[in-house]
Amino acid sequence: MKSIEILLQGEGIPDIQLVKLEDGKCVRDILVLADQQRKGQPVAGEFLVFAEDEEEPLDPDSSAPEAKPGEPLRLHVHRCRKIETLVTFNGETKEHHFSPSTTVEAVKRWAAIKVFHMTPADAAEHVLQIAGTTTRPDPDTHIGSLVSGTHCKIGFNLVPHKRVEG
Amino acid sequence: MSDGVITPDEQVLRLHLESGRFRSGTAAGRWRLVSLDWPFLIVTVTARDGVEYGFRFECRDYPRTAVTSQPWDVELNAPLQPNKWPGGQSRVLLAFNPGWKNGSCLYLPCDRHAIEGHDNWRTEHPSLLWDPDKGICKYLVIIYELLNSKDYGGRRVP
Repeated sequence: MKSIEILLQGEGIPDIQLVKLEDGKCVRDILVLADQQRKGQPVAGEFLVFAEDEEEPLDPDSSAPEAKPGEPLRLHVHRCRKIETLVTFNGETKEHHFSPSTTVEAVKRWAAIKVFHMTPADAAEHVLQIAGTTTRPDPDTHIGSLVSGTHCKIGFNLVPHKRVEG
Repeated sequence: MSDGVITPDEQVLRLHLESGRFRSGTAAGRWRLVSLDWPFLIVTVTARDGVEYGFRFECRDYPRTAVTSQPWDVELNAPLQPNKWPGGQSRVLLAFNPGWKNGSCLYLPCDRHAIEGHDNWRTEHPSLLWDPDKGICKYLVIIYELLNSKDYGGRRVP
């Protein structure tokens, strides 16, 4: 049976998991795959499936979305419908509600270019760092992977890349 | 290894190369696996001008010990000539420095050889340190970021 490759992220799912879904399956079957990948204690609540960087969840009874030829699907499973996201730069904090499948790169572009008016080139010299930590999630990390379903909120600092010397 | 036995360090590297994180980078066109001839791994990383730079990683004791990497000419299967290394004004020039240890490694905190004698990097650049859990993908993300930065200016001599 033919199958599609899925790069799956989500609440309680470590890193990015490569999973396969048989052709003809529906969105609800992706929830089962996510259950198998989730670590830690079982959690209650309704999980939703999002395509990467899409605002609204997929209908659980609809067919699984089709991937572009040769490319995997990029999906996210989370209990939060939106993540309250705060980005601080030069002492100024801006807020937006993103879907959990939004990549760290997309949040950075929003903050650096749209909100803080950097050029794309200057934006590339900056990175998002989780507030209160030294953690800088990879650009293709979905922000939902960084928060739990009971706390749909995250804060970042937008910081410049530093030269490595001496 | 010539006896056909896959050692635990090679086994972990192979698992990381089959991981979702590595696949994500490949699917996005950020990097491409060229070969694995243990303990040497060759991967190309795409710069913002479309140039694919080859890197040869030496991966003994992976992932407990950080890998070390040098720019590699994939066609010649040899170290990349210094004039073909990535160029830039600041961060890129420092990281890709053919004069550093004769071009045998990159000047980055995630590199096994470069971190030696640079304990200050552990506090100054915690996000650029080697991470055994992310392994080779961590190093590749750092290279990709540099090659797609504003500072990157193409090959040293185009």
